Amino acid sequence: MAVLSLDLKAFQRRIRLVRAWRTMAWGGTAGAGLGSVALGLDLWTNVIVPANLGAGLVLGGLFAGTLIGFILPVAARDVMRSVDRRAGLKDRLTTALDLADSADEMADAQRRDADRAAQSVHPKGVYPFRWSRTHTIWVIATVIAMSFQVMAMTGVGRLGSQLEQKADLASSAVQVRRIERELMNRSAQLPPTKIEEQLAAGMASLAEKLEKGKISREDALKEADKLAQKAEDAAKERASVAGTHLDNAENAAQQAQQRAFKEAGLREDQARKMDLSSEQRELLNRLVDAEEFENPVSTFDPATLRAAGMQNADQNLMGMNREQTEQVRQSLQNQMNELQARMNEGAMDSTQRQQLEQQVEDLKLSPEARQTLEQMQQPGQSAEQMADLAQRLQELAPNMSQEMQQALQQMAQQSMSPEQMQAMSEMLQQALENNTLNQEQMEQLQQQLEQQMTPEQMQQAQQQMQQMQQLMESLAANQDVRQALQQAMQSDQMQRVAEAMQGMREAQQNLQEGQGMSQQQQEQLQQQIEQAASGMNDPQLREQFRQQMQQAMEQMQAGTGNLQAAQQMMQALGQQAMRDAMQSAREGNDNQTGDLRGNITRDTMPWEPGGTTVRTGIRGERRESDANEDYVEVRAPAQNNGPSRVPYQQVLPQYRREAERSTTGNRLPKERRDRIREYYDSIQGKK
Amino acid sequence: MKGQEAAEWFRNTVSKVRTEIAKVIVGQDEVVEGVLVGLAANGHILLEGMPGLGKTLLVKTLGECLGLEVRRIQFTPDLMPADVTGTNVLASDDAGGRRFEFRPGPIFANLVLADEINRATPKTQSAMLEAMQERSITVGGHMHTLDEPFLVMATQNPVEQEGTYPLPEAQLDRFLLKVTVPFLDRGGLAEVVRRTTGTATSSASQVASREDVLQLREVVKEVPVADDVLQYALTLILATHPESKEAPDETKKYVRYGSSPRGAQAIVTTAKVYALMDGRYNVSKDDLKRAAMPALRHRILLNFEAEADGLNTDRIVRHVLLQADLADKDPIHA
Repeated sequence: MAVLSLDLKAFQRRIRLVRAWRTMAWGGTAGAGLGSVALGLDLWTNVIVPANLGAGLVLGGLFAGTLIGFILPVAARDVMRSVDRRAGLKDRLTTALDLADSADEMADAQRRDADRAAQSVHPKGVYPFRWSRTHTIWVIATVIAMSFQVMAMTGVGRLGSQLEQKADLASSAVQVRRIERELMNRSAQLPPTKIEEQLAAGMASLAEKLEKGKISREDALKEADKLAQKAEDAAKERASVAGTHLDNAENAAQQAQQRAFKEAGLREDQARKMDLSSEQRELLNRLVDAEEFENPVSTFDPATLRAAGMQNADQNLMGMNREQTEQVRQSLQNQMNELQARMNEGAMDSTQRQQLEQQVEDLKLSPEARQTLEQMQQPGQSAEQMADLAQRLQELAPNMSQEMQQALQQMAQQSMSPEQMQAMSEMLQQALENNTLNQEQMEQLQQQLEQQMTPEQMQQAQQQMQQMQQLMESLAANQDVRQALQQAMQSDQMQRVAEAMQGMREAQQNLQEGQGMSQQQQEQLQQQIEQAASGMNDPQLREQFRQQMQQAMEQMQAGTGNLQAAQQMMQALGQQAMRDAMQSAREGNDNQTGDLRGNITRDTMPWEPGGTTVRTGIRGERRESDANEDYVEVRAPAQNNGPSRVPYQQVLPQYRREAERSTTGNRLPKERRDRIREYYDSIQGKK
Repeated sequence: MKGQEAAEWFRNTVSKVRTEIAKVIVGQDEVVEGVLVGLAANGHILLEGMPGLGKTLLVKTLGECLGLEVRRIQFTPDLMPADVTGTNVLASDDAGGRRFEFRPGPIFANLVLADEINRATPKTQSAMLEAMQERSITVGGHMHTLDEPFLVMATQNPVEQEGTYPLPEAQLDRFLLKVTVPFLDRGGLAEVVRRTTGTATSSASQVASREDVLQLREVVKEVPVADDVLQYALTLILATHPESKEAPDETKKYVRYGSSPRGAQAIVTTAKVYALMDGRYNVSKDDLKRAAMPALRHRILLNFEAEADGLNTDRIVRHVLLQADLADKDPIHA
C-alpha cells in the first residue's frame, strides 16, 4: 500500500488463510451433514447410495469450503475497514485510504497518524485462527458420517438373522451380477439395443439392491419378473430385426430360385396363368368339387411359389396331377359347349326384341278400351248401350282375339241370350284382370320373349365364356408349370435353401413368441445356412444370402441370450427362495399346506424347484366363496415324477401353428377355418 | 496554523478551558463538554435540566475563561421581543435635536444564557431564535449584526410544563445539541456544598481569547471524514425516518418525523470536535455514535403511540445506533 507502511498483501494472505479455515468448517459441515443423511438413508431405508458417496461428500464439502474461502477476492478497502474495526483504529486506515490523494496538511497529519497506528498492528494478531462453533459442528457431523459408514461396512447394530438374510441376498446378487456381465458380453458382439441396455441396467440395479440387502426376496422376484418381461421384449425386438434380415436373405434366395425356375423352363406367361381371378377360382372349385378329388392340394410351399412369382397361384390348380387336370378340362369343355349353345339359341338382336315387346304392348288394354270395358261391366246398361259400347270397343282394340271379336259382334247386333251375356260378362271381367283382350296371343309373345337372353345376360354369358376360356388355358399350362417347379425344387440347391429359410423362419417366429433357440438348434441352423449358401451358384447372391442369414442368426442368438439371462436370473432368485422355504419348513413354520399336484392352497412365496425349466408363472384366482384361499405362484413345470404342468400360454402358439398348417390350403370350408382361428383368438385373449 | 499543529493546539486549548472550568464547576463533565463542543462547532446548545445545577455558573465561568461577554435572560411569559433584542428609544442630542437611538438588548453578547426559554411566548422565542440563526437582528428597519463568537445556551425545565410554550420543532432544529443536565452524584454534590458554603472561593482565569474561539472553529472544519464514515452518519439519520428502509422497528412504530438535514450536519460537525478532542485527525464511527444522542434527540418527533407508551427520543436514538451497528458488519468474514 503506497499510502501507508501497512503490508496489505500480508494481511490479504492472512485473511485468505483464516477465511479458508472458517469456510472449510462450513463446507465440511455441509458435506458431512449431507454424507450423514445419505449414509443414513443407505443404512435404514431402501435408498442405495454409491459406496464412496458419503466420504466423497465429506471430503468434497471440506475441499470446496476451503477453496472458496481461499480464492474469494479480498479488496483493499475491505481490509482497511476490517483492520480498523478489529484493531480499534477508529477508522484511521479507511480515512487515510480516502485521503491518499489529498495534499491538505490535515490530511497529511491524518495519514501519519494512521501510519503510526498501523505499525502496531500485525496480521496474526488481527486475524487469529479460532476454533468456532462451526468447527465443533463439523467435527460432530463428520463423526456421525463415519459412524454410519462403519455401521454399513461392518453390520454393527444388526441382528444375526438380518446379517444372515443379507448374506443370502448377497450370494444371489453375485449370480445376478454374473448373468448381467454375461448378457453384456453377449451383447458385445452386437451393439446392445436400448431395451437391452435397460435390461442390463435393471439387472445391475437389482444386483446392487441384493448386495446391500435393500430388497426382500419376494420383491426381488417381482422385480426379476418385470426384467424378464423386458428380456422378452428385447428378444422380440431382436426377432423383428432378424425378420428383416431373413426377408433380405429370402430375396436373395428368390433371385437364385428364379434363375433355377427359368432354367427348368418356367415361362412368365405360364406362371401368370396360375393366378386365377375370383370367378375362375370359384369355377374351378365347383369343377373340382364335382370331380371329388381326394387331395388336389398344392405340394409347393409358399416360399417356392413366391420365388416363382406365383405367390397368388391357386392351390387347387397347382395341386392337380395330369389325370385330374384332364378330367377338369373335360368338364369345363362340356360346360363351355352348353353355354355356347344357349348363347346361340338366344341370339336375338335388339330390333327384333323391340318389335316383340311392342307387339306385347299393343295387346295391352288402352285407357279408353279399359274405360269402355268398365262401362260395359256396370249394371243397368240397356241392350242398345251395350251394343254401342261393344262396337266402340272393337274400334279401340283391333288386336283382340277371334273369340272376343265374335262375341262383341253378337252384342252389337243385340242377339245374345242371357247365358251368352253372362259368359260375355265373365270374359270381359277376365280381360280387365289380364289387361288384354287377346290373352292367348299375349302369353305366346311373352313366352317367346322369356326364351331369349337379355343383353345383360348375354354379356354375362360372354364374360363367363371368357373366364372359362382363360381357366382352360390355365389348366392347359398347369402341368408344364408343375413340372418346371418340381424340377427346380428337386435340385439340392433349392431344397437346401428352402430348408434353411424354413428353419430360420420357424426359429424367428418362436423367438417372437418368447421361445429361444437351443444350442443344438443353433448349430443345426448354422450348418443349414452354410450348406444352402454353398449350393448357390451366383457368388454375389451367395454372399448376400450368407451375410443376411448370418446377421439374422446373430440377432436371434442375441434374443435367445436375453431370454436365457432372464431364465437364469429367475432361477438364481428362485432357488434361494426354495431353500428359504425348505429351511422354514424344517423349522416348523411352513405355511405351505398343499403340493404341486393340484391341491396347493397357500404358499407365501414363489419358489423354484430347480432344473432347466423355462420361466413360467401362474398366479391363481382367489376363490371368495371358499374358506381356503387359493394362491400359488409356480416357477417350475413339474415335480419329480409328477404330472406335467405347463401353462397353456406356453404351448398355445405351437398348437396354433400346427392347426393353421393343417388347415391352410386344404379343402376345409372357409367358415370352418375361420371358426378354428376364432377359437384360438378367444383363448389367446385376442379380439 | 494548519494540520497537526492546529489539531494539537485545538486539543490543548480545549483541555485548558476544561481544566479552568473544572476549578469552578463540579462534575457535569458531559454538560461542559457539550458547551465546549457547541462553542467549537459554532452551534447553540439546549440544556435540559432541573434548576440549580450550575447552568448559569457554567456560562459565567466559560465567559471568564475565554474573556467573552456573558448575558443571562430569564424568559417569562411577559417578556417581549424587544426585551431580548433591544429597542429604539427617543433621545436628545447635543444640539437639542431628538432622534431614535438603538439600545441593544441582552442578546448582544458572546455567550447568552436563555434561561427557561420555554416560558416565553412564541413571539419572543421567535425573535431569539431568529437571532440565533441569522446572527443578526433587525430593529426599526436597521439590521444589527451580533458579535462573533455568538453562542446561545437555552435551558428548559423538564418538569414544570404548566404555563410553558414548548419550542416548535423548526426552532428546536436550530440548536446544535440538546444536552441533558443530570443531577449530581453524592461526591459531586458534597463538593458543591463544600465550595459554596465555606470561606474558600474558587474562580477561573482566562486561558483563551475570543480570537482563539474563532480559530477553534476553523480547525474543526479541516478535520476529514472518510466516505465510509460519512455513509455511516447518513445511515443514522435515515434510520430516524419511519419511511426509510433502514429504519428499525421502533422508528417505524413510534416516530412521526425523523431528523432534518441539519441533524446530519450537526452529527458530523460534533463528531469532528470529538475527534480533535480525542487527539485524532479523522472522524471515526465512534465519534458519530457519541454525537448521535445530543445531536438527534431533539430532532426526532414522536407520534402519539410513543407518548402513550411513555417513550422518549433517547430510546429511539439508542435503537437507531443498535440497528446501525448491526448493519455495519466486518467486511472480512474471517
